[in-house]
Amino acid sequence: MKGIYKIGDDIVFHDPDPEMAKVFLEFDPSYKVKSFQPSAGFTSKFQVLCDEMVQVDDPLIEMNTAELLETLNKSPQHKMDVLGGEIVSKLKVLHALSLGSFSECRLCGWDCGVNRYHNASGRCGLGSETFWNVPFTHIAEEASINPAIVVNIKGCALKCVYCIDHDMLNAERVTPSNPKALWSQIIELQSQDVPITSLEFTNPTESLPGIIRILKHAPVQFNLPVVLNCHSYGSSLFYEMAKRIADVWLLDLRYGNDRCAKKLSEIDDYMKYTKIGLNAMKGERVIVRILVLPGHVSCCHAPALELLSEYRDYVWVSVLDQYVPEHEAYLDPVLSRRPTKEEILEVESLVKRYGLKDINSMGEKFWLN
Amino acid sequence: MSRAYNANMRVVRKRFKKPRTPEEAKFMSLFGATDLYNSYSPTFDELSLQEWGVEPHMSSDIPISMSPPMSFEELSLPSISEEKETHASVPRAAFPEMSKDVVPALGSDIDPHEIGQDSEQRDVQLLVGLLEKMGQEVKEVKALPAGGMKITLADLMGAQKVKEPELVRVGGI
Repeated sequence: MKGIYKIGDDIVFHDPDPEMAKVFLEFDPSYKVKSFQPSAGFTSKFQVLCDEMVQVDDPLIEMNTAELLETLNKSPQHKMDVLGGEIVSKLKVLHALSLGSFSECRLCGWDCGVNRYHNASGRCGLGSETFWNVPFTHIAEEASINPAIVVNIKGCALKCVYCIDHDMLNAERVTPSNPKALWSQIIELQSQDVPITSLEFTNPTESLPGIIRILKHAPVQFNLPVVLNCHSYGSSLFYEMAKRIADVWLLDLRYGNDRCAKKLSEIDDYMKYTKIGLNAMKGERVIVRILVLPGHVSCCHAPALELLSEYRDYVWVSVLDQYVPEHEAYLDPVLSRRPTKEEILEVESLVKRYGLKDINSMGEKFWLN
Repeated sequence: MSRAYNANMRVVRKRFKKPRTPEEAKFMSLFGATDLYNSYSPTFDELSLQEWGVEPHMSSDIPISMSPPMSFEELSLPSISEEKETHASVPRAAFPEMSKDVVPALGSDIDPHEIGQDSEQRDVQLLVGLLEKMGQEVKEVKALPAGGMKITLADLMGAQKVKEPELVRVGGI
């Protein structure tokens, strides 16, 4: 669902699809859909996992977490080298590992330990099924991943008072979790005139097994970067599994202290889990989004950017000036307005001061190396 | 959360500003009134720079060339009060339907008494008109509790039927 916000003179187009390009041209005749694509030699991580085969002596379902992880870390084997046992793809092993995580779910910082096969009483309210909305082509993501086919996954462990997607996250109308139907929709979008750069999944933390299941059904020829657009409240187990399929991490870093995280998103130990995530992504392609929240530059964005400076070798920063007081933000006197131009400029200057790479000004270098 | 595209309402206002009649232009030119007016009216580019310093998503080094103003009559103004969905918990604007004949032009001809709610209403009408002219189907317009408006477009993609794999019979009877 596309939403357009008009606040004062600002107009914010949320989730614009290719049809909106005509509208943007009315605002800016020089408007172009910006896109920097990976080189021709790029191969999605999950496709590599599909091709890498390993021998297993026991059925995957009987293996525990340590055994599955050990199997995943084995060197790939050739079919001809296998004398006994079964040979399976590493993606299949990863799927088995992720499914096992549901029996005592500790995928996010809530560490609920709920058996999601039996009930959905965890903080995210999700059981073992994964739900998603109809995918669409998004034309306003960062140029290095734009245009992206976005698959919005239902359910989130955070309860942000200003959540712009709260309707979608809690929507009743979602497509049945049928990966084959999803792939026919994705292929349909790919076949249109827009040159797609990436496939993006939102809220992967709570529904990682479902995403891996989707990828298991991908056509062999599908070879776009997989982008995981996640909050920074995942557990080390989540990152251990997800880094095997994430070609690009798209991380939302909202706060710079635990107090604001607790007040605005109802979560504890936010900074601890943020550091777990950033450490787990070392050496990966990472875009960290800083959504400028009104009144939170000194308490949140400044310390968050200072933290990111420790990871500046591989982290790219994207400052978002799109905040609108949605959902319950109107109850907070500070959050019930748009950020000012001074606040946005201050965050942008902090990005420079800490020597961080701005994805929106030098995105053409993102896919190099 | 995905990244959004930001724009400025001033562009829409300027685009649909009613051009001056020859009589108005003549009046403004008398005694140097046009020069006086221009000296107090920043151009669009100046306004943008004052407002943002650097315009996100609009390259500040590329001049924004505005096409000739489109006639207001080209827009079919929608009735914002015709809402298709309601959510009882969310306060919303219930604008009376406006005849396009009574919608005043904005910009230099603006009546100071109409600034405020009326201008917000006109802005939304202009924006909705622009969206519909561009082939977008507006599903709902509602006021945000904190101020401002949210325009929801029809989810055309969601209504699109998913192509099922075709079953093809080869040979046989």
